[in-house]
Amino acid sequence: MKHYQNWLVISLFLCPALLLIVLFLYYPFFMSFFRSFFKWDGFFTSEFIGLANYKRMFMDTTIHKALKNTMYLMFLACFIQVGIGLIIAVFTDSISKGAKFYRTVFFFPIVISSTAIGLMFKLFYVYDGGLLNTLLNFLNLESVVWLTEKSAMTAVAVPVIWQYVGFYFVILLTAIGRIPDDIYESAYLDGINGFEKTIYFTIPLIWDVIKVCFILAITGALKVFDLIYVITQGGPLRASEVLGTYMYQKTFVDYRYGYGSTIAILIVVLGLVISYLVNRHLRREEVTY
Amino acid sequence: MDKKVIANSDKAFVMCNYIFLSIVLMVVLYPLIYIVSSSFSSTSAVVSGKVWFLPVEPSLMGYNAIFKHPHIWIGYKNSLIYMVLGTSINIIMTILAAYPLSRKEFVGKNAIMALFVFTMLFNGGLIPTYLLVNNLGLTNTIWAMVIPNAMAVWYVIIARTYFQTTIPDELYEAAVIDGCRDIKFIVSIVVPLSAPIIAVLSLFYAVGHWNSYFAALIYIKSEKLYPLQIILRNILIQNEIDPNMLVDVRTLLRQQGMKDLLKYSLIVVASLPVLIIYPFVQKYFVKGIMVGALKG
Repeated sequence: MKHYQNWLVISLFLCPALLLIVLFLYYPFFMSFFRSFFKWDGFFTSEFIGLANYKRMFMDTTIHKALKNTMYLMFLACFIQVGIGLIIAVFTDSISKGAKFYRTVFFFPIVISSTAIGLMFKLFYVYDGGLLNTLLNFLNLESVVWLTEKSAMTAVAVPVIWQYVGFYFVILLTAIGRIPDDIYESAYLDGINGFEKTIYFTIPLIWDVIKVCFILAITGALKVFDLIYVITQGGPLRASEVLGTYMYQKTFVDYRYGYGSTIAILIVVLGLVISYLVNRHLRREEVTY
Repeated sequence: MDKKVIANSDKAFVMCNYIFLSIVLMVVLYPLIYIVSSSFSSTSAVVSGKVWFLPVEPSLMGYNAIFKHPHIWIGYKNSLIYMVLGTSINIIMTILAAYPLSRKEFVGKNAIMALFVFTMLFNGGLIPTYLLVNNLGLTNTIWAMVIPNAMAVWYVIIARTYFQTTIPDELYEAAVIDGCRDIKFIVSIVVPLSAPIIAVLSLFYAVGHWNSYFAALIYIKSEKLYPLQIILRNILIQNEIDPNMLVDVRTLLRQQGMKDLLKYSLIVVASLPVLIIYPFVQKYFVKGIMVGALKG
């Protein structure tokens, strides 16, 4: 009886949270799923069209472009973002003085809003008087148009990387810091250098954490919206369109809510599939220490 | 002899290390310094690209234009209210949800946990969420800013992990024997023991509220309820050049310069509170990420 009563009280604690996620996450999610089979302008006309939205998605060249760009962003997020984070973490871990100071500064961009950072980089890319062209002119070079069809995707990826490197850096630095020193000791006696130490010891020992970083980077890349929206709005000529910005455009600009919902479903499925694959393929034997 | 060689190469390594880290430091800091310096410079200096490091021809023109706006203080006030109210709700919800999930003997915990974790892969989708908020009558009220995001699943997981690792089961068992019920246990034992993690989560939530602008953009219509970020955005739009207006080149140039200068000042004004608090609280941020990523 006592146990039962306890269970009841504890379940009551969970009620508000459950209500919240069911109401604001699951319900809209299933509505999206449901609506992805409709042609729907959001308010008045609503017509069941079966899989037509999905078929259309496979034919839609903009989706292909957006998908490619999202993948590109994911790739950069995993390798450049987490990679730089790891390198900086290894270096920071090996210094004794000032590590805290570096850590503080590297982490800082995280707390600034994405829109402010987007605006900031947009200003850097300005043709007349923007920081980058001023720099080029100073070096006696011609000004460059930074946001062209070719370069736009990289131009919007840079601020994304710039903002989040610090996040992975802190995670990895903490993981490295937790490796006990005596693990390295015998290796030191064998005359191992810093590079070998990183490759053969540090990385395998924190592999699990690196995997977490990859998954965070992938799901994060799927959700990127504000930064790109502020800097290029997906342009020029859709060169920097990603799934998030395209979904926004379809729903709030073109009022194709049904199709927008289909893109939302695509994003969820992608997230699930890729996280699963990463989890499976990066599995290694657990190293315990 | 050998030892000395090692010591020397060591020194070289440490030197390289500091040089490398200092370069990274510049990459992170320089854009921020540049923004702040530009915001305090004159329009002509900004447009002609004379600003490098320190403000050129110092002026407060950008800030004057911003603080002239009648709603700027309302924006600050609203943002502050949303932040405080939102964060309080966040923390209560998070603790209430995380506590049962941390209790070992709670049956059905794993199923609920799976339900929670799955939501991290998606968000509800803009339109259905918007319609829902609208149907609930929350649109254009303060509640639209704090209810739909009253809890972040990621932080619930962090809190749960923290409870699991820091509050031993024996403590709970002892409390039960003493006739201490769950609510009392939370208030008098869990909360005080979890002060560090509560501090961390409050900060994360608070920064999130402060920086958020999308919710206000779609849910808030009344100027009196606008948070700072929206007011700033509106100031920016007001100062856009109307292409239909025929003006001479000089006015155009001046307006263009003003627009750019405004952007620099806006970035500073919007980030100011975070900028000021950050150095004092950064160690908590770091701690929070650590708990979340390593143990969760």
